[in-house]
Amino acid sequence: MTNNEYLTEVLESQKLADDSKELKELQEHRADVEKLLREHFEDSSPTIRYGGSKAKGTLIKESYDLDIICYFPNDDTSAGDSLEDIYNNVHKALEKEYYVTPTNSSLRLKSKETEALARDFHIDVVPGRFTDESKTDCFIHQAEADKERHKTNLDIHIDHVKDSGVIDAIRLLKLWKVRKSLQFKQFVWELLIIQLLEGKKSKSLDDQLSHVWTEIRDSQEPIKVEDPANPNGNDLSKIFDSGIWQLLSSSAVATLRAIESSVWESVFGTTKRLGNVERIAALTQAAASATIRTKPWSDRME
Amino acid sequence: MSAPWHKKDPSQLSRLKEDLEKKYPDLYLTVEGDLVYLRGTIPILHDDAELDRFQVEVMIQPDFTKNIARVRETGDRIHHTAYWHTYIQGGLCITVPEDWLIDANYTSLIAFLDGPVRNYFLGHALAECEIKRPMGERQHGSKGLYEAYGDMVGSSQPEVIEKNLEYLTKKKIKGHWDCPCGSGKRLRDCHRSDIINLQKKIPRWVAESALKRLREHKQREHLCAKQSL
Repeated sequence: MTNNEYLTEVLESQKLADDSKELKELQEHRADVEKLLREHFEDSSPTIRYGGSKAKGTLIKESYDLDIICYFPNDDTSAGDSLEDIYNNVHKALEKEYYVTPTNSSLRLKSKETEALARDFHIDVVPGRFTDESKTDCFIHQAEADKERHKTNLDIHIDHVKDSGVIDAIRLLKLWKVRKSLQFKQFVWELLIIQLLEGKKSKSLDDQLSHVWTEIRDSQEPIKVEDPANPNGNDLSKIFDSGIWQLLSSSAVATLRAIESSVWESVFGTTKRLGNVERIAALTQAAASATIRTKPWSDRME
Repeated sequence: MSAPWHKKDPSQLSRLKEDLEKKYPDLYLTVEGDLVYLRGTIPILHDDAELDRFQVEVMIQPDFTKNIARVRETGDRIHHTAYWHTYIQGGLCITVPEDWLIDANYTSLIAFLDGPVRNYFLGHALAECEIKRPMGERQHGSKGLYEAYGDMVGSSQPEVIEKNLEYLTKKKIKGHWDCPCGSGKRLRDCHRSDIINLQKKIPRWVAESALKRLREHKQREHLCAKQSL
């Protein structure tokens, strides 16, 4: 198998089919969330749409979070006077049905079931307000940043990625980032990849990936990335601070070393995945064949 | 306080880095003061197939190998409740620490990842499918400690377990001591050979650690029970 055939297999193994259990569940939850928000903010008529990887076509099985944007008209104040009010009011509305974890700009939804069944729905709701009547640019609240608001444009971001011609490389490098638990904003990672692969669309996947890692390895300073939704206004330099860059760089070094001394499988591992029934059987078998047997405990009281 | 393990012998750290690159390439190692962290993902592989993958942070404490590494799941997948076997202060209760510290491979972090950590995740992946953990699970709190230490010393009676652990913390076993089995006989006339055998299996420092943990838990539970009255 050639490197490209292997990488294509990796991509295939990360595909979430439209009729997959995970995607169906997500779509059901999305419908519930949309209904809840529409009913709660009946007077505001918010725009509710898919954002993030679902809209951009960069979804991968190992990180299939769904962004649902909920943007209010620019002249509407019934959802809240300030962006922070909107954020808090959407939070309150969602809390009726979900366990909500606030993050910088979004609200993470989890089920309110009993502890045994409580689980993450992989849904982030991003509240915001359009900047004008054209309903294109939008301001979103930032709880943990210097600037309280962040100007963005969903369509520009979606088109920027969709038209990049390097979606496969983006999906593979997203998988790489997820597996390495590198914690920085995915959309900035996508922007960096697109920037580094400018003029390299026709290259093979393995060349594209190696190029991105090599550029990162060779750059002592964090590479500057421009936000196409607000080129002069949004400062993304803080996303790649020197600590994150060092981590990213050393991960790139290790990956390039692995490719040089071994094969591409050492980067993305096996592509063999099992169906649910086979997976459960294999998990049971793996547990049965373990030579060291240990049991989990908890320091909590009954 | 003595120097942390990775400063005492820096070659251990280099070896660990090399081993991780080979066995767990998606875990990266960072040294933060006296602590060593591994962050990234751990795949659960079996017969060439990847069955699952978990995002983790493994914190190796300065007194490694006298204490097991602390593992946190960072993908927000495992809820912080007793049901899913987590510590009150966060992190996964992979196993009763002394269960691992008496294993022959306890000094190897890779063996810890291959053994107890993998076992935990295997069990968790099945529990998510509402299937019982195949290796079982300990009860919570001191009950679980009694289970674990009971398995170690071969008894299910709390008094016998504690007495055995207490004797195992001693440098020398004296024949005139009461036998821990509760028979009322002297040790030399009852289970002395069993204690001697246990000494070979359970090092003194592990028995001390177990006894300390047990007493702390009992005290905490006693206080909580008193407060709830």
